[in-house]
Amino acid sequence: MKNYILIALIIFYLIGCNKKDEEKKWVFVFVPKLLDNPVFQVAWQGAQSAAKDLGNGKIEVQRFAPVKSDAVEQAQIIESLIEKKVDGIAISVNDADALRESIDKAVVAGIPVVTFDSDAPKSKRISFYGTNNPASGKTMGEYLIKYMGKKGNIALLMGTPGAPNLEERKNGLTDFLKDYPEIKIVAIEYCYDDVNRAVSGMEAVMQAHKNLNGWILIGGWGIFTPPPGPFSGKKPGEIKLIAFDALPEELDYVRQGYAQALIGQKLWGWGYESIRMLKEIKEGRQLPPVVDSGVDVVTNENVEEYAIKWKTGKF
Amino acid sequence: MRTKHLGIWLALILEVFLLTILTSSFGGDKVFESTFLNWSNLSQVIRALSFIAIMSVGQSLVIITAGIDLSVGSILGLSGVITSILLNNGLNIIFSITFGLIAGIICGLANGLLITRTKLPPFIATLGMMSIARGLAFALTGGETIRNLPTDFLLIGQGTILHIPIPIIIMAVFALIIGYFLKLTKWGRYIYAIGGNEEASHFSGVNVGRMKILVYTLCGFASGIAGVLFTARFGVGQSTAGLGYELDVIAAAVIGGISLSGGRGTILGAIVGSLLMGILRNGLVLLNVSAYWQQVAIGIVILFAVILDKKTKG
Repeated sequence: MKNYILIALIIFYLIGCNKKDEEKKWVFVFVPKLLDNPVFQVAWQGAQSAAKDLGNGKIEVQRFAPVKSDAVEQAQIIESLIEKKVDGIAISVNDADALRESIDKAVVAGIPVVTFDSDAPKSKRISFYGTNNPASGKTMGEYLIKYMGKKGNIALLMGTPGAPNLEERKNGLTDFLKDYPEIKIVAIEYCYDDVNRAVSGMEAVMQAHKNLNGWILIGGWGIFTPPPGPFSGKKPGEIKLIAFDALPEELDYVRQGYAQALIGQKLWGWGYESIRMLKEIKEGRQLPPVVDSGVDVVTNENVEEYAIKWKTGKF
Repeated sequence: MRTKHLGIWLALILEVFLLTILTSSFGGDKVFESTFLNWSNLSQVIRALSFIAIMSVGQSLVIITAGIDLSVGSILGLSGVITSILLNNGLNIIFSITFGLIAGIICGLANGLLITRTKLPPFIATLGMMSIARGLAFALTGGETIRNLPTDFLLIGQGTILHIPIPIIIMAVFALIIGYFLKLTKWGRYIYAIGGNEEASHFSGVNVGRMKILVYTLCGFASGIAGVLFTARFGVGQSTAGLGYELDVIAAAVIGGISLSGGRGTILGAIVGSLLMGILRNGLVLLNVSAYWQQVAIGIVILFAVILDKKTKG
């Protein structure tokens, strides 16, 4: 008896497989820098929605990523995807040069590749969707002027030295600040993407510079912990704070007045737009090499609206 | 019997002295004012390094048996994640913390069993655990940061007793207990004996396997404590918490005079080593040294401390 059930199951399974082959789905693979990062989680939700909205059941999205940011591991993932003959790859590269060869190989093999968030401009990738980093650095500068004025001592929080997107944001900011000679950058602190080092580093900078007027966080690390975080013992707004990203944990800093503006990236779009782009390439459309996603600026005027986006997942 | 770590003390005193001088402004309203040597700065600095220090106490036991534990940073992440998931599911604080600590203990126990039963070298066994514990933390959170932890829980990481941050108190109590255990009990002497000569201790009747399981379990427990405190301090459960901390922890132990070849070192040394490194990092920021040069300076101090330690050993 048991054997019959088993055989029946196998037959059903084989029929199921054949059916799948007839329909021929497009398999698009979403490859973020690493698995565990809230921003890529949102992007992945965007990618899944795109498959649902645009695919008519013809698009399947899968996700593969290294456990931590690792260019070599990411390159291996791309190589195995080429073997698997997937229909398209959307990737945020850990290192533009290290991934170049694998991306080129995929494109040559007829698999379209688009990049999001972090680009590999010298590769054969077809298009990039993401934040214009120099422009967003400039935006941070504009909001600093708006809230702090054209004069003051500021400090910068950076992540890991050498990360190209962070350097671009920083350069966008410092270029903009050249027109404001009375704003002085008194310290640049690197936290190596570690919350503990970000908070203790910010505390140390404020110890060393009692006359600090503003903080620019090139990435949000220092305020990933609930407020007051690094600002214990300080009044909200005493030191102006402009930070990159607008994650739920950062929004409380705006609500309580510690942060004046957050520069949110189009995280949802990273996934949604990349899948749309892959679909359009498959349909034979031409795409521009770079699509600027723009940014969302969150201040105390729109913080509640933005919080709802996080709750509902609709960006 | 054991060597006194004069060198490391000298280095710490020298460091504190130099930083105090360099960050001081003389004159003005107060006769003497230093941005480094004041309680608000020091308590922040020591709280930030307390996680490393607690783990380096556990790591010291392992290193004294001539072993190594690479999984401490991952266990920190896993314990923190487990505690915060349980808290978010409404389990009470005591139980949530207990389960977080148990997770640390289980990982440590697994390390110990792997090393003694399958004879895997500690480097390999704990390297595997480093990946497993981190992987579990990723899998349990599914990439989400766990937020909105109860405020009473956060007190453990953010509160103070008599102006002393609670993580510092826990660090001190843990170090005292382990220090007492290592210095004044029979089992403590066995741990040194195993590191000195494993075969000889086996033949003189020491149950080497059991002692090794014990030290790895204690090391896992220490990482569990650090994980719970870390989560309470930053108010979020993150699977990436403590990523790469194993190197800082091992460096702190080595700076503190604990010999990687086993058999030598004290718990106090591990604490002083952690202090030396944490204070240095803070001092370099206060002195406005650029991030690139900070790395260089820390490397030099590690080498300097170990050389000084070797020279001053009788």
